[in-house]
Amino acid sequence: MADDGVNTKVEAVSKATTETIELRTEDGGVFDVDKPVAMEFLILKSFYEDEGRVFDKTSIRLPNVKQLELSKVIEYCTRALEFGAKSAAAAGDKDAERMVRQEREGFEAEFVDELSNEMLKELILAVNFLDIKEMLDFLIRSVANRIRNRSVAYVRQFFDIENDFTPQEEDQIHQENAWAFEGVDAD
Amino acid sequence: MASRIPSDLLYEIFSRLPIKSLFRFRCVSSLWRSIIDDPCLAYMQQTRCAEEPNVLVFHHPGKTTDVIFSPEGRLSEASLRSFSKFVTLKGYNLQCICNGLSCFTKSSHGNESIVVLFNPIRKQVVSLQPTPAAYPSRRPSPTQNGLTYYGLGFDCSKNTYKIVRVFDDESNSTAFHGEVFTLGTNSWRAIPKDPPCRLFGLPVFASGNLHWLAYPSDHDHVDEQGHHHRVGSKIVSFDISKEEFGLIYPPKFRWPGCLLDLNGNLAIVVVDCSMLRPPHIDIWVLKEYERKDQWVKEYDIDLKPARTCFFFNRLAAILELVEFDRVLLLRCPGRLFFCDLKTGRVRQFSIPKLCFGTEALCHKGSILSISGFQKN
Repeated sequence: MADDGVNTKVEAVSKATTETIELRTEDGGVFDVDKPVAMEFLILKSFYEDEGRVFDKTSIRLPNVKQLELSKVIEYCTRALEFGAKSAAAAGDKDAERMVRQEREGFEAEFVDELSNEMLKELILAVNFLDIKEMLDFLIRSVANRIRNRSVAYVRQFFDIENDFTPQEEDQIHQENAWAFEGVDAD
Repeated sequence: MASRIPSDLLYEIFSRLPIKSLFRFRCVSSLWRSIIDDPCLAYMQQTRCAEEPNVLVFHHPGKTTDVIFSPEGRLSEASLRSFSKFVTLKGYNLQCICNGLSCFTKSSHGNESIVVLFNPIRKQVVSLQPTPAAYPSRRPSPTQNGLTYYGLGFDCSKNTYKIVRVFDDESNSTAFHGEVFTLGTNSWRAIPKDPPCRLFGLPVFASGNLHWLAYPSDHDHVDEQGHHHRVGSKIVSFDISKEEFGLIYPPKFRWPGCLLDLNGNLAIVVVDCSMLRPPHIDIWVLKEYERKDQWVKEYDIDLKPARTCFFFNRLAAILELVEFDRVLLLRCPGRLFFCDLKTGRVRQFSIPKLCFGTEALCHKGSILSISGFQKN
């Protein structure tokens, strides 16, 4: 993994003046996250906006998120913000825009390549809980790419699903569209 | 630890899968089958997954209908053959193709009251005969010689499809009326407010609305060479959920535009074939539908080679534009053009039967199951 496994404290990686927010995961991890990154988590953003005042270093507990997931989320969101800024700076210059786009695609491809199926699923649940639209969309597209030409057995295993059809029922569904079962990737 | 992925995320994932995968995954579990068979998913998938191969139907008015399959036809042979056969059946008039459903009307005792829907991907045909609409006073009768415009669209709020038709009133030549039929119900319903203008051409369904160009008005534009051009200055919209007509004003162009569904958004395509400059295509998209003045120029392409595009000059007044992944097809009498929107390269195909007045309809596969809509 790009980041090391478990850090008890991840320092904010930026200018000294950036405000940070402390986030605690359900398995005891503590992260100091840059405020701009944390505000990408809409679940936090609404919490801040509701309260109506500026927070200093308050600690927020994230009940459904574990350390490993949060560190990955922070990594992605930090880079996403950077790419956003680069994109804005390159606006109007087609070549520069293309370069930023390619750089981003390269980062995303590498990011998702390193994720196991299990990790990808856990990340989706975490990001869904944290309500980070852009990252959720990215993860969903990644899952779709992973399962698209795979067999039924692979997909059941991927999502840990129990088959609730009888053999006859399953056979009938198979017959309805036999062509869809040809040319599928080997497991 | 296998935490279950919530259903709404499954919808999102499925909407990004190709039809072949979705058909296969119907046997993963009963939950998956019910999601894949949900009309809402069919609509989501159609707008998002842009890789389904397309079928082009050429409707030569009063004569025949031809079906051409996409060059990269990955669709099952059986589906394509059944489509060909069906579309060329006698007595069936192809009205429109929307979201993968072909809508035909069939004459019965002299009036076209039977609506037939066909989804070649699912190999399902549904024949419907909704009862005529009830009107408070006298019921208008459609003119025999006029055109009835049909449109088909998905209503997310009701999770079903609706068919709309607009016809001229026989007894009042300046009037035209609209009716709507919700699949799963029994009858046509009158739309209280008439459309704001006459309709023209084929509809495009985008952003929850059906759209037609407004019939060319008297304000034709005459260019330097003395050619008359229709100025498509208005678009008639129909909100499928609220069942109301409206008007949209696209950016002003010198050349007539053509409507297109670009990834679920309404787009207008303008081809500059004046020969005063290299042949050129502009495509404007209405991305934020609520802000109807916010048209964004998505494509601005010079076409090559210029020699091929020379024929654009003789496009006559009618251009049909459809989208093939990222390739646009243009046609003019006798020729069909594939235009790659990324590179601007144009390839042409000669299709002798293409003549003035031929309508080109594009079919994009949909996984929608319509057998549930068959009544009786």
